[in-house]
Amino acid sequence: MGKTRSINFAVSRIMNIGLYTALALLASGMILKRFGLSGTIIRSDSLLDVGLTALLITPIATVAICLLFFIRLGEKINAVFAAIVLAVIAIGVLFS
Amino acid sequence: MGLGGGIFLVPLLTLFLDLLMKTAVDTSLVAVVATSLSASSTYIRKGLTNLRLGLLLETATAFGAVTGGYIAVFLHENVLALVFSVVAFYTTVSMLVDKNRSEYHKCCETGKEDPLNLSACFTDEVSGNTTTYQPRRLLAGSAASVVAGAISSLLGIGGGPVKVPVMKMVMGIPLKAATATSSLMVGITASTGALVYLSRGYIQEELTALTVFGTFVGARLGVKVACSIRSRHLNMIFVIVLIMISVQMLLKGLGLKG
Repeated sequence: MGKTRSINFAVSRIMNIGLYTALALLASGMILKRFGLSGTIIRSDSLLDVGLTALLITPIATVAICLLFFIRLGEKINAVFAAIVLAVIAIGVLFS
Repeated sequence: MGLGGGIFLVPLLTLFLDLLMKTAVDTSLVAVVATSLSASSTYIRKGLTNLRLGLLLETATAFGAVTGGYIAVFLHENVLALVFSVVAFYTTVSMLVDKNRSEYHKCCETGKEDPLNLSACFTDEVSGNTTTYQPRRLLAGSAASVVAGAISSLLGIGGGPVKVPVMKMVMGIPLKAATATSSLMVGITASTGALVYLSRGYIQEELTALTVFGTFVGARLGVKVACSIRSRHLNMIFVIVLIMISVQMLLKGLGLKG
């Protein structure tokens, strides 16, 4: 149970960091766009792009974290499953 | 409910905001990721999510999601609406005919060989009972997960309407654990599909950002309610909402609405 708790803690933390970073970037992008400030410091579209990418990459980062934990804990079969998920996602995105 | 919110969001965007089905699907997939992250971080901290089971099933779901992303580009709006309606109807029926819903913890098996370390336990905050369970019929669950993945990318709903009933009825996982595990999975599945759409430039950034903010707030409230509500009530809300959505999308698919 201790092992499960440590994975849970790490995954939960990564999710929160990713989510709140993405929300902050999206909010900044929206504010710049709404107040016509886009281009003064940074383009609002760029912020929205980075925000969306950060949001979409976070679940994949959690799988990567799980993979690292499974390797460290010697759970080979679970590590293989996590690696397969990452591989399928990579194939799907790269060859789209 | 572990659905990711897409099953509500897609009809909302198409029926009330008059968006094209494909635009709604793209937007919804991103929002589903936000909902999933928001809800899952809480569920995982509370020990409700079975990470190992989630990743095992996600292997199959990811294959389905990538395939669905490719198929969706070639399908007509009304066909997507009809498929959506059928999925929502199927989910409703499967939740209604499940006779064991109030006794789910009794069918959970433990003590069998568990090489994947999939057994888990959690404490229900409402009843105070600690439930230990061991997932069964992993192959059937994986096969259903492929379908869930394809449906997720096609319809932008995260695949939860297929995953939750399958985990609960086929694999013998308690509803709350199934909901939490599905919530994690829909995020991974939806992000795969959404990244395909984002790389193709199909996502409307401003609309999507606003939707993400809305669903984030909704997801936070949803987690609080889900942890403090009885499983039977959660089931009933699920069924009622799905019936309404199924009818709305059927009308749209048949060209009788919107």
